Amino acid sequence: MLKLIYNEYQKIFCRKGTYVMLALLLIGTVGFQFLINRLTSNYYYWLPDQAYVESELEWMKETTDASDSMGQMQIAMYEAMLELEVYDVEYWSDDQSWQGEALSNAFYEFYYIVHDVDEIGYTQSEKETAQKAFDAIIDCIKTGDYSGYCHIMVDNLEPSSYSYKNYSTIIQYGLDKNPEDWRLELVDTLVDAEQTLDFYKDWNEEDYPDSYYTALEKYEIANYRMTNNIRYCVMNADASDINAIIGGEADYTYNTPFWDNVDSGSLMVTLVSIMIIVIAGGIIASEFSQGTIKFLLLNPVKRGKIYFSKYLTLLTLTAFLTAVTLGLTILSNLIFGAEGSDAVYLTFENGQVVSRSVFALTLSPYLFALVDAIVTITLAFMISSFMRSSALSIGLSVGVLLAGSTITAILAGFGFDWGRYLLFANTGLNSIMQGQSLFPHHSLSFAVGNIIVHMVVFLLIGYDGFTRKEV
Amino acid sequence: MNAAIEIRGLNKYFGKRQVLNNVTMTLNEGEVFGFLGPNGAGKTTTIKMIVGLLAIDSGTITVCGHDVEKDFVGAMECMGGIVENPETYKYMTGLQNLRQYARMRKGITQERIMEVVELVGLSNRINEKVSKYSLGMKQRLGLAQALLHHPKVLILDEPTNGLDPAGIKSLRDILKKLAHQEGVCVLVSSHMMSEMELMCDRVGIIMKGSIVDVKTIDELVAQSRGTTLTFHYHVEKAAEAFEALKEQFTELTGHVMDDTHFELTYSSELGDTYIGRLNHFLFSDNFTIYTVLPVTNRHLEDVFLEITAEGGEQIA
Repeated sequence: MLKLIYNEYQKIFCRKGTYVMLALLLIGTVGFQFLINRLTSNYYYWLPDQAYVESELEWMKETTDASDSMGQMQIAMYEAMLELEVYDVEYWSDDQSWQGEALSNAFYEFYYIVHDVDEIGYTQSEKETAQKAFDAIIDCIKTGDYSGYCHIMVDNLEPSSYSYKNYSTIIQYGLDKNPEDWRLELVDTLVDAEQTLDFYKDWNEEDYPDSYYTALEKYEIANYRMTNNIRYCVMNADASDINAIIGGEADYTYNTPFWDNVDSGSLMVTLVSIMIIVIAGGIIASEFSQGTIKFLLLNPVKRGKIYFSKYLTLLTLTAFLTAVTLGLTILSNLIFGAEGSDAVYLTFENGQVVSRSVFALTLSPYLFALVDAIVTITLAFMISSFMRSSALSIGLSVGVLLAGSTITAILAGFGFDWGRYLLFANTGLNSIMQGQSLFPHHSLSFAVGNIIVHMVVFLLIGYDGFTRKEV
Repeated sequence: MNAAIEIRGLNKYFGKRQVLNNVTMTLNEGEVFGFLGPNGAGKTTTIKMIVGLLAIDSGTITVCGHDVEKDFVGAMECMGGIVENPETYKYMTGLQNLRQYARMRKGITQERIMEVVELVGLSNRINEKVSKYSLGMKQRLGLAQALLHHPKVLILDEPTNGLDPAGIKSLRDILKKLAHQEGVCVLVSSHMMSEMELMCDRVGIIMKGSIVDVKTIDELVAQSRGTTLTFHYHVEKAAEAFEALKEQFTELTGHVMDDTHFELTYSSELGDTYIGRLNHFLFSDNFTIYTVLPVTNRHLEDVFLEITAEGGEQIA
């Protein structure tokens, strides 16, 4: 049997066409990764610069009334921006510099009190304290002292305020020592979750709503990432996570470009499937069209053995090429420098954060794609065992694939529920698992069972056709 | 002699049309058996059934004691052959092709492959792609494939197709050596009687799906000779010599052709030595004889046509 499979491999790899298809697979896989790497990292960022601030300031001076104290504060702030050369103060974005944020806080939290912009009636001592804080922040900006800035904020803010919690959390985790620390991204999530948990802390445990557990999970995972310094990770998707919904990853949030790309790369298994359909369409039919079937069968080997060795050749080749696609995808992400190759998959189970391999997680879309490929290849193989012309056989296989999924979609569209028993309603296991089937209440086990029945029937029909065929 | 292939009561239908009708024959070890018949007589059909390419509707075929249907693998292990055209994988080299077949059989070494390549005279071209081979070279490659595993039964469907005269001669020598020295049973099909005459020990003639005759080549040659023998004389004074002979041997017929040539014919019942008496008479009568040539007016071809006359014009 192994020798027969070896023979089949030799037949496949002695043909030039195979190498053309392999080259296409290589170009397709690597090219796709190249595109998604470049597309995701080349956003155009607009940053406010000196000229922008100068023109804004000029415009404000012209239009602001002397009695508009809020306007006057803004003018003072813009002048400070030019003096300190910090321009991204009113730039509300994740990549705002800490100096921008600090200057903004200095004015809106403290200058506001010193000059009592809204005429609330602050006491003299309050104004003096605020003045001190304001000056200290300006000093910190000048000297680049992020830690000092964080401490000033904590010392002067109301302990119940959001900003206080923000800066106290920064200090708590020691993030104030380095304003470039990536973990500052986590602070918002942590503080949000903590506030939610605080809100429910007096409730009875049995009364906790879902949002409590969501917040708990978020808090624990963020805390775990903080303490273990885990920048890149994959988490179970939050139903409210708009990015996950738009990205089509209903199950997971990929906080790692590397593995996100690898996950998307499973699309390229379709190329493998097309390539093997072409090979499967010809694997028996071409023996007839070339006349070589007579030499093949003129040997002390039963026809059934030849049939199954050809099928096993297709299966092993499909599995191998799927693995090659996965390998190429990972390799091209390493070459194109996608970040987060060291990511882990974090879940919160039974009150504990569990860390798993992301590789195992990204393997599943490839396995599902492999199963889909094997189903279509079995169909093509069955067709091939009836045909004497490989061109006709390949054409028919591709035709059945296209027509099959279209017909299934039409049946589903018109509400014919029996359409779910058709083969093509059950391929696309990944979307069925995610509940995106064309038919309602379509379970994964139903789909798998249906596929197995189809495969067995296809194989038996093909076997019968091949072993009884007169040459 | 042991039977190598035994065919008993073989019938085959293509749809409703009966293509083989109760074919029965026995092929022995150590003989080259010619399977002869016009186009469409059922030669290839029979061969395909022997090697299991076609299903047997009724009847049995036994090869070296193995029933082809019940013990396919056992039967195939002692068979080798070419059916119809020698089609091999064009995108592989000759050697790669042979290795393909070697892997499907037991115990074929690299040495054996090269030995067979040498035997069929392909040594110089064996590493070229088959797509560059001529028909004759493909035929040789097919033969090499058939011989790889020392088969006890060799089945060749029109093997001389596309071979040059030297190739045909060497094929003939190979087949005769295999049959007569190594005891292989060789089944060769053809519609060329002249080829068969040189190659085969025995022929079976098939017509419209039925075996009409199985004879040794010697029997066929005797049959071809017919009832009369004719000799062509080149002598001095032909007319006088012819008259003298006719006077002495009244049963002779014939005619004078020119001054120095005449032909005479007599019944073959008079025997092989009769010509000696004629020559002795002429000699003692002082006629000078230059040459005496037997005239073969009936070839094996004619015998074949005569046997197959009924189906001659239309393809059965």
